[in-house]
Amino acid sequence: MSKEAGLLSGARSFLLALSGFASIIVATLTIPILFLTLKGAPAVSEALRTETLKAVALSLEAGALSATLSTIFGVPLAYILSRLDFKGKGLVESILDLPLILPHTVAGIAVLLAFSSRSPIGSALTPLGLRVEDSFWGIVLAMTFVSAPFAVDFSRRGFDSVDVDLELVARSLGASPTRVFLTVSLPLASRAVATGWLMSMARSISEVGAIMVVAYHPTVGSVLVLEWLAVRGLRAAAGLSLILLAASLAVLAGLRFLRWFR
Amino acid sequence: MIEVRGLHVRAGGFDVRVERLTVGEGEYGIIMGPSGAGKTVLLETIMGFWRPLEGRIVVGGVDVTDLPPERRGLSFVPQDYALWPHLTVFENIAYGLRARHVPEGEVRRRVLEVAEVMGIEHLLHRDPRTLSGGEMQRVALARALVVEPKAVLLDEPLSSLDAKTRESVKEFIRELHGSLGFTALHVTHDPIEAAELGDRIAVMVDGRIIQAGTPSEVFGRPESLEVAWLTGRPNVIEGAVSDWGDGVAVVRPSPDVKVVAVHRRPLRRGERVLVFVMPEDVVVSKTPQQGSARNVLELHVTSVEDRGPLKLVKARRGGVELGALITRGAYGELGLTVGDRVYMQFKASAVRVVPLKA
Repeated sequence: MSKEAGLLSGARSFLLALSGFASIIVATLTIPILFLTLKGAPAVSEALRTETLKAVALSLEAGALSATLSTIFGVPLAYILSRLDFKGKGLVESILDLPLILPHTVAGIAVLLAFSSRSPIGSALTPLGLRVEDSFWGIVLAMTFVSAPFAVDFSRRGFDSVDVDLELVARSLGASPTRVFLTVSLPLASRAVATGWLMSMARSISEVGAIMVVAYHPTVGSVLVLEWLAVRGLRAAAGLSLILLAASLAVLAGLRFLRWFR
Repeated sequence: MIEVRGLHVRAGGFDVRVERLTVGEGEYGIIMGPSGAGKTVLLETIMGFWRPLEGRIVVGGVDVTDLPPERRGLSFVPQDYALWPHLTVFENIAYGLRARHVPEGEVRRRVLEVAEVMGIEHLLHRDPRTLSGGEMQRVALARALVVEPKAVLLDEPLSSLDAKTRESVKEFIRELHGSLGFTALHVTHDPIEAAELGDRIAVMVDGRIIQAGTPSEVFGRPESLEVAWLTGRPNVIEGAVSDWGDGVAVVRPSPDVKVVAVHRRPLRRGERVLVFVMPEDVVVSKTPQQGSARNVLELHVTSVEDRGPLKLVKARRGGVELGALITRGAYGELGLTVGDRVYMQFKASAVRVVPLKA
């Protein structure tokens, strides 16, 4: 018996009360998925068509790219936030929290205003082939806006857990700060960084609102579900949803694997 | 050689000011002090992890005050050794050499060489997380020494070891230092560790070095109450000076108790002082003994405590209490019990007198 289990031994009525409340939240999460599976399963074969597979593939492709960009640019920020105190650190942290609390359509409008081809930044990017409206890059940008905080937050937790003495010893032995980061800090935080990438990916493929505003076309899986719901009805949308659920479960399996691997 | 001059650093909630600290070439220097004295901050400032507000740090004749840690030529062994868990023992030891772009063949040769000296050849392929405390200590030392630093800085390197391992590692460090002759600066709160390892000891309290010298100077002549307490939990008795002349003071802790002490600096009659006597300098007997001891106090045993292989006998007379460390054998021969009358004797030269500040 673990020490934690020992803590609650003999507290039968308290445990029952805890379990009662706990089961309600578990049921709230499980029952809808169960219904989706039951109702959606017969419609899966109907939903498996080129249009669907392209949309799901686009979700995965844009999601992976967005998670990768969030990680590449988010890891240095995470390291700075973990290791340094500076003026305006609170402001940077608040900026990172913003996409998490902002309604997603609002996030989409903000991205569109800043990066559309009519904006100063967008007009500079468009000649380079990086047009945002109704494009693959628009999807990636919208996904990055809403998912980057996950990559930064998980990476930061990873760096926080690395004892600074491990880095200081490396410096004392002749390693430059860059070498210390690449050979000590980053490898030791790698699992957290990978978890951040996966969480960022999961958040990206589940995004609807911001993508619809910025780039309705080409259609990603989550937007297609909404379209099918409006045009083809609940049953067809459930079949498609089940396919997207499978993609999400694959990401979840990746997370579990990372935890197990630890 | 490490030399610190006029250093002032504020870091981690500490305000550390060190007028002068010197560790000679090949010397084993100790910074000893209680927890919260700022010892680690001083060590880390010498390493280059904190930037001082004032002062200079010179290592091997080079002023390193403004250099980053990797260019100071110092190796650091932190309290928990900080072995990298994602690298094997070999890779841990090789890290510093590779960071200095030493050719791979040379890296291999030097790692094997230092591993042989440390007796850890059989551990080179291991994951450091699977090592015992003593093994980790050896790997951390090997990693620090393989780069041939100008000095090794060790922060409480024995504090996380169990008593038995601590003794063997201490012995190992002493032998290693004896054979390799590296310059070291070692932080500890343990006076026995300081006395056993240090060529020179600096006692640090509240961010200041309050006494520095050889172990015999620091332990034999504590210049303050703090040093006396840190160097061995002595008997401390407060009293008034009743006489001083020819370098000898007479102190009366109470009207019927007199302590004679060698004390060169003049004392005023009636001046309040603290008297230090180390328990190991006190001889216990049941009858007054003939000898050179000028202090013979008649007291009554109040307690007998175990101190490992020794016994601490405490005895009192009025407001004066004295402790004496005696062997278990001597304790058995004396057959002491609480309430017995005993004579406690000590030499005048074994007494330190520190005037109380007004």
